[in-house]
Amino acid sequence: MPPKNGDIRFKGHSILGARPSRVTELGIAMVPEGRRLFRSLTVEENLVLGGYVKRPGPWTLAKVYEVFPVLKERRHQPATSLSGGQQQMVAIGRALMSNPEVLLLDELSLGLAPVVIKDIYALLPKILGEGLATILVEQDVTRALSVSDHFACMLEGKFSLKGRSDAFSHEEISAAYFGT
Amino acid sequence: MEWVNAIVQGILTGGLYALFAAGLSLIFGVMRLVNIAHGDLIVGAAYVALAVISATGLNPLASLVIVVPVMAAIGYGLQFGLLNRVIGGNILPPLIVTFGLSVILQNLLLQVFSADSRKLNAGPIETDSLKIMPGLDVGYMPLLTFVAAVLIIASLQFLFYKTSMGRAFRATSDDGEIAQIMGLDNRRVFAWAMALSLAVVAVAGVFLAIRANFDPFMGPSRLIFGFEAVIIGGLGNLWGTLAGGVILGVAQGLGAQIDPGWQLLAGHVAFLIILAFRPRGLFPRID
Repeated sequence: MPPKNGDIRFKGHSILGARPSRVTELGIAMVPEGRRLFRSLTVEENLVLGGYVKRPGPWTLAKVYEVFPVLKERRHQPATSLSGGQQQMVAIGRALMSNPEVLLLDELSLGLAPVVIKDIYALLPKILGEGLATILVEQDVTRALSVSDHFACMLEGKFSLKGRSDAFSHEEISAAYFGT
Repeated sequence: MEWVNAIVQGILTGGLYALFAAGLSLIFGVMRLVNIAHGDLIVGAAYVALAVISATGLNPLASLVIVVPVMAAIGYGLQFGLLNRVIGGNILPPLIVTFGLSVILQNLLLQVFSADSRKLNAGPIETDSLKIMPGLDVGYMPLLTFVAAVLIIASLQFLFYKTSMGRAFRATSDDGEIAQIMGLDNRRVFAWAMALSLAVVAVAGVFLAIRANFDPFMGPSRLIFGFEAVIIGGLGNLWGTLAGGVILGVAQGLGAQIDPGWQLLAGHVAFLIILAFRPRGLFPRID
């Protein structure tokens, strides 16, 4: 969607209208909603492609396999043959392979079983521990608050509430979230 | 024995059809582009070979060393400069542009090379044949064409599934948006795919021109054979494309055996029968 006005700035540069590959080169990686893995590629090929821009940093194939050991076992399988949770791990691993400075996580829990969501969230601190700024878009408010430092609620395109994740009660946040 | 001969010759002819079709299959697989000018590009490659041979005196098969890179460069430029502008989203604009390109190419070839039909002379290899048993001779040229088709399809298969370039092709084909986020430049990926397609077209054009007379207007009928082979084999499956070419060749051979006038018709009928029972082709890979 082309923006009508305003600007998106990252590290002092405007990235408005920049090619997606350029944005990745600058250090922003995304885990898209619905994961969107490459279905004709194996797990490992998906991860390798994530590192296509070759930014230097801590994340390598070995490191991703260390955080998600199950992916190493299944590295030669087609990525979309994995379970939903494992596919989400591939999507996260693929984004990390570009060694981003900012990680965008879009609807991490979408379409996943509650127990799987719990596992994925349990792994997040391991990832964020690498000093990675993360923006998480999530409908599972409680879980999102539990892993974040700051939050912002948006209602019809405008901020309805924002602040430290531990500074507001659940009621205040749901009021802002539902606009009541 | 006449029938066995018809089948064997049909299989070998199928190799040529697979060469027509492989480039088409590749382009459709990577970028969902239906290249209406594909047949004219095959004929164009034959004329490029003609020009190279008259300038250098090379044997047509040796001229491939020049014709293949020339056609690949043309493919890269064509995709980067023209087709990338119309690709993505609606399937109709690229269809119309390649149709226009087809008309332009035919008239350009007519202007430069005249309407006279030409042929490339590859020397004694054209008429020599291998005697397999009484009543069954296999010409070296058809055999070479078939072997070339198998080797090219095996190489494309290897490139697609075992190299980083192939990984980029498959990723872009799966989800172009996400591939771009990963840092792939889809304009260049598409340009490389077209370069590869026209490299195969170069081989197809030279083999076609050694086998038969060619003129500026025979492209569209080669395109039909290519399309039929791709669709019989199933979209996105290169080995399927080879099978499609062979089925088409055998059907034509058997048709001709019944009555020489039935040769082309038999091929089209076989295509229609397969389309009626297996609308997605025999071995489809792409939904």
